Amino acid sequence: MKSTFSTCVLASLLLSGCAKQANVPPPLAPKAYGTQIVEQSGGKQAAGVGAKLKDPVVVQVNGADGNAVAGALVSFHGDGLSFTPSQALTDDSGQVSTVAQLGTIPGSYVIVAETSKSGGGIFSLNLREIALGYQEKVGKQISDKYCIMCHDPESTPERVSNFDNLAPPPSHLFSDGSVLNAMSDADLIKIIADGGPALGKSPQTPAYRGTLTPGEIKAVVAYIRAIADPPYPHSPGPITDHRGCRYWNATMEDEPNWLSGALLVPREGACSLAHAGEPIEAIAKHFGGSVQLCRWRIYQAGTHHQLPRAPCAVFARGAFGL
Amino acid sequence: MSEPTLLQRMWHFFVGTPARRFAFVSILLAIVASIAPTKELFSEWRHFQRQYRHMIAQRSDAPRLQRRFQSGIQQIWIPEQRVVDRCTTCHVALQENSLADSRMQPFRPHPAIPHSLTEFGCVICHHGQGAATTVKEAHYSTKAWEQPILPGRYLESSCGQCHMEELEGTPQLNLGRRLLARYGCAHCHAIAQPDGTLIKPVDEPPSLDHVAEKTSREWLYGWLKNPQAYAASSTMPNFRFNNQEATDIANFLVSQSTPSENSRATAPTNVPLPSEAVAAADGAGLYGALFCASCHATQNSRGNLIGGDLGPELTRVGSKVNPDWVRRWLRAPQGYDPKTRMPRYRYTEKEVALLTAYLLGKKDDDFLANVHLAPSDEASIARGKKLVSDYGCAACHRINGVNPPEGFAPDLSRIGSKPLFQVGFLRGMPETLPAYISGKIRDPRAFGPALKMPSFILTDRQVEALTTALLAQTDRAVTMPPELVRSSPHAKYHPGGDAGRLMEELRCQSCHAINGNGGDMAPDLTFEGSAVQRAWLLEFMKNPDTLRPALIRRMPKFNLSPAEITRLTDYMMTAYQAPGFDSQALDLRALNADAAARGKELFYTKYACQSCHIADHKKDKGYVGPALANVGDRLSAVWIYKWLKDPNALLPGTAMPNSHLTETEARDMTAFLLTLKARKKGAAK
Repeated sequence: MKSTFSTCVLASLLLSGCAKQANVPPPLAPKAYGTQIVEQSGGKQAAGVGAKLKDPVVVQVNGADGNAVAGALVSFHGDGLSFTPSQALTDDSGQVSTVAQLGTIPGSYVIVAETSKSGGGIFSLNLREIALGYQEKVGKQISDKYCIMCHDPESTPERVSNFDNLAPPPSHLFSDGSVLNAMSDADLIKIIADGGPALGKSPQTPAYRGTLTPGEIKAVVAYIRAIADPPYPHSPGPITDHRGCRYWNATMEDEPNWLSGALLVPREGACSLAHAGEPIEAIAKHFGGSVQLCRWRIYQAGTHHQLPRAPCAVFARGAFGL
Repeated sequence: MSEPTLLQRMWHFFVGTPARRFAFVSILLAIVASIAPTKELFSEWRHFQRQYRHMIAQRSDAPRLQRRFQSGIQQIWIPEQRVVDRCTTCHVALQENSLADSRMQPFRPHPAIPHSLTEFGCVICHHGQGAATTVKEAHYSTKAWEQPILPGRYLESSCGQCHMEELEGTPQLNLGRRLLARYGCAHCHAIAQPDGTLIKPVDEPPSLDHVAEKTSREWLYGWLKNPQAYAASSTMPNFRFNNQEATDIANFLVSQSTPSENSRATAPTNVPLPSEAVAAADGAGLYGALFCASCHATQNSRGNLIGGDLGPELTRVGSKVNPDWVRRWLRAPQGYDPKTRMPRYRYTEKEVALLTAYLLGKKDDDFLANVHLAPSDEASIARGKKLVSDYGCAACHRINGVNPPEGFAPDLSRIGSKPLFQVGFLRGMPETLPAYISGKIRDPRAFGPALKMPSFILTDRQVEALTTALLAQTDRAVTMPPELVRSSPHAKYHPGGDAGRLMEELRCQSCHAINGNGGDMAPDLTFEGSAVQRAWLLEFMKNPDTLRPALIRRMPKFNLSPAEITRLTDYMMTAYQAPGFDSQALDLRALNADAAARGKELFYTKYACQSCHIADHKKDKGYVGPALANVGDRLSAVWIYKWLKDPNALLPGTAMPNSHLTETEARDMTAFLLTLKARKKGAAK
């Protein structure tokens, strides 16, 4: 009796397991293998958080001879992204196209497109896509209305570009990270609010202080940072591992904290002055830093530990007022 | 007496004596009573708060974050909005911008938005159960419960609960609301917005009162079967009629048609239609010169639509219309359909003939190649009439003998709060409201073959936008405190008097907005009388040439008589005045040659206006703003001065930035701009 019951339970569990399995599409079997995977189109798009990208992402698999390979398996994945389809075989032109849906957190997303090698292993390709949050979306609207007719050389039937009519021409597109990443937020805000002359540039960029609110100007800067290519290094992008957890790199985080003090009060300098028995105020005055900074620096450099042990430790710790 | 068994020994140990019994029961009670608090100790939110403390402890800004962290259940309580949100119990770092680099939920800071979190709480925008303190209860729901968390891609719908106006940050919601009006959803469904106003359809489907004059039974049949086969850009949905149904409706529509005012009043013309070759050669030129493409689109050889979307697409119009009807229509569209947006142009008979022949040549013989209908009979007409009233055709079109149905389709005013247990989901679809709404828009008949809602041809983006707009129609929106609701102005301005009647006839407001009412294709005319000089306006009416040569859409020529031009100009110069435009506003004596020279310097050097405007066609190339080469003939001095000082005050939303000119600078610049006049023939320079 008991055994019948447990058999039933086991069978139903197995069955439900099978039923669940049936919903997951079975992995496709590749019919051919390539040696390279390249982007055709669809990278570097920007869309609202949670939205599908406007254009499909198309990648191509090439063989050793450089020609397209049909029937190679391409699969897509990426943190926070979903794809329809998530895997497919390349068509006759060696291409696979998929529609990607962004995650709900603003920032950069990386699409990883992979194709399997013939002997095992994979070739992969990374594409970057951008999810715009509320602020960045506002920035995009403002940029579309006021900025891109001069900053974008592409014309559309609805909008004729003014780029070529300008002398000197605009030095960069809004997405040109190589130029704009080097500018601080404050400078960008300044040039939008007060025009080109505020940074010694051409007056062709008018001042928008009277037209846009400070919040709107900030939104434009947020948008510029979001679409920067190469990416803006301090953008609120992900520093996450495959589980979506944050990497903690204490060295990297502490570097700026440490560097500022270390540049102002070098370790050798701190030591020698401490050896000479100077009071902390005098050290601070000598280095042009605050008393707190010097005290912290001497702590951090380990000077206060080393001095008592050093043979020439002629003064008490009290000399520092520590 | 045998040795006591283990059970007996235990029995004796625990409950052998009354004292032991008492102790045992007390301990048991204590254990049971402590279960609840212990469970609380291991609750999910404590786990998240521990995790958060652990996370921030390793950061360089740990002391600040630790100081701002508050443990225990947190709550945002706003009684007047019925908000009790405990989300911040786990989402502890919503206000910690320094954690922006973290992707670990629930510890991300909230992205920048224009509202304070403590002023509105979380659930108003994100839905979910605010009072819940477990992940499952707060975010997900079963059918019997309230709403789950709103997916991120529909988040803009929440803005629409208070904001009726178009916001810059909600393009998807704005598009959705425009589509609700444009695709005629509001003809059948009542959609009351939270401020009480009904969404008003703007598509104005044509009246079918006189349809037999315009087209044939065969075309009606083909159109009913698949409207997009005739015009890809048509907003008419597909009702999936079978052949018999389409024939019956076509028969009924033809039978109910009465002669229009046009056919009774307009005398037949004696100008013959030009030959096909002439029409093809000269017609295209005339079609272009009359700027028909400002409103009507046609498909080019690559299948792209070229032209505006104010009027119907004309790619295959020759397969549809009756030659006599086209002539009468071109002469007086309002005689056929009094509500049409098409102006009454004063074309000559020769132009009408050429244009008619040209339009008749734009046909597609394949469209009706296989349509052969049996002769119409009474039974078929009766069936057709029944179908027309069953499917609510009269909700959109005017049809003789069929009254517009009232409350034909479900009211959608609160669709965003529809309880899930009232929704019949399809097999396999996610059981959420957004999935239901978008599924219903995408393919209504999938929910039941007997349903009447037709299929609209929409892109994925449009479906998402419509879903977003509908999700904004929530219970909460209706009961929101009125001071939070931001309405958009609903203007009903129409010009009055004789000139007003003329402007109605010319349908000025199809393209121009006046006092907040009208189209957005052409400039706003609300303050036109203050802006322009009378002489220029007279000349412009005679021969409208565009101020912005880069635009495809341009003002067509109406061929007005001199008397009509004077009447219109006088009306506009008098009625469309901005406040504060009197002689006190600007001292005209200051606008001398010296000032103009200073103004020119400012124009070219300090403000680099030539990057967007053309003051001199020989050297300037700016293409963003209107050309200023003859602005001295066109605009009034006070307007130029006030415009330079603050463009947004005169035209809200203009792309022209406010450069904060000083009084003197604005005066000097005005003086310079007034010197820019078109060179008159024979005038000494």
